[in-house]
Amino acid sequence: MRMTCERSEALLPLAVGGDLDARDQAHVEAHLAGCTPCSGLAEELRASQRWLKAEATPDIGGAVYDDLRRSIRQRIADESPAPALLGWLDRHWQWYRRFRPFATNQTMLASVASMVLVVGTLSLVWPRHGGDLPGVTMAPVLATQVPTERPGSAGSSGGADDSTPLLAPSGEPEGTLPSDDDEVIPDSSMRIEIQTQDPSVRIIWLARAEN
Amino acid sequence: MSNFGEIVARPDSLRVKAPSQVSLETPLHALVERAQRGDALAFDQIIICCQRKVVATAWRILGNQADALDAAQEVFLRLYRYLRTFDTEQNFSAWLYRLIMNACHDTRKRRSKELSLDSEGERATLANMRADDDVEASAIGMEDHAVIARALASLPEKERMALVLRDLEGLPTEEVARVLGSTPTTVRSQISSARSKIRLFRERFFREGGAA
Repeated sequence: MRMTCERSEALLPLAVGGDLDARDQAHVEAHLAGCTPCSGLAEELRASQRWLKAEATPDIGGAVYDDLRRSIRQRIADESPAPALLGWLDRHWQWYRRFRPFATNQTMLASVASMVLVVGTLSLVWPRHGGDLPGVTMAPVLATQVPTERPGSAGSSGGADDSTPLLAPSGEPEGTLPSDDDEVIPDSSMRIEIQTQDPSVRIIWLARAEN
Repeated sequence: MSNFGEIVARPDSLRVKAPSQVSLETPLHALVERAQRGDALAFDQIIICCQRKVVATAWRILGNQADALDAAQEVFLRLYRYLRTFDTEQNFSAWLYRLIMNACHDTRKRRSKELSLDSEGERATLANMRADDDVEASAIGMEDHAVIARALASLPEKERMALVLRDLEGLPTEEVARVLGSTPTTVRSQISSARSKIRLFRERFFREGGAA
């Protein structure tokens, strides 16, 4: 098919950049080979492309880039003073997402909301049970008269236990008075109770100061 | 094809600061992943690696240094805000180009509002550009890059972006279309129109003695 000059002029801006499909490109090149005005136009287009690429951006000094980075850091600091806790959560969340690609930010929000709900519920329920945790109880007591045994604690006091108890301050109610049959501990003594994971085993230390 | 990945390997792109932690072999991909995990140093290195390219591209779009630096700042701020949402399987370079184009668009819009009038270059298309003495005199005194900036500014924004990405940044037409959220056919049309206008601008500039 013979290409007209009009058609060639329409395609030339794309032809000089190699943006035509192979068939049109071949037709244009064939036309240019025999058409002086069109080949002149093609050369002008190529020259303008070279001109554009040659001087499009003046170079600027490194100090400008230093200022740019300083401004960016400043704006980042101004705009996103993320609390440490949020930063910690976010880092761990990103780590988690690497292994669980389906995890989205929405699921993270749902998880955090659930955790808040659970913690809130626990904080309401906790005091009613006297602060006993299912795990371990440590009861440092600096009192004159403290019971060594509690009702229901069939204790093997002083026995070694394989479980590794977590230490947590017990919620020993203030003002709890010992019963008459409790062992009396003199002043400047300390009593430490550790409830192991086995509810029937409780470790009790009695420390007595030597004068 | 130029892309931001290549910049990492260019020693001159690191000459500005060259912290000891920056390795020329450090792949941009790894830096992005580290920055996504909250590594501030990695983010800083990304800025160092990409700053020249970002500023240069923004300059070509906006036509002057001040606006280009404003846009570059905005690009890196958006990069910081949205980096965690970036899928590392995607092309970081294309994503960054999209940020640049959006930041340039916003910068130009903001500047137009600030000045309460459109920039002269935006309206100075070849169709309405008058060949009066003032234009000629100002053109004669311009540096080459300023003339080219004026030539680019004479194009409508979409054509200018398409031309810069295709001819100056060397992106394939399909990639340009993705960056601009357009189709390859539309981009070809914009590029064709832009090349013709630049040719006419240059021809007129030299004919009127601008090169003297």
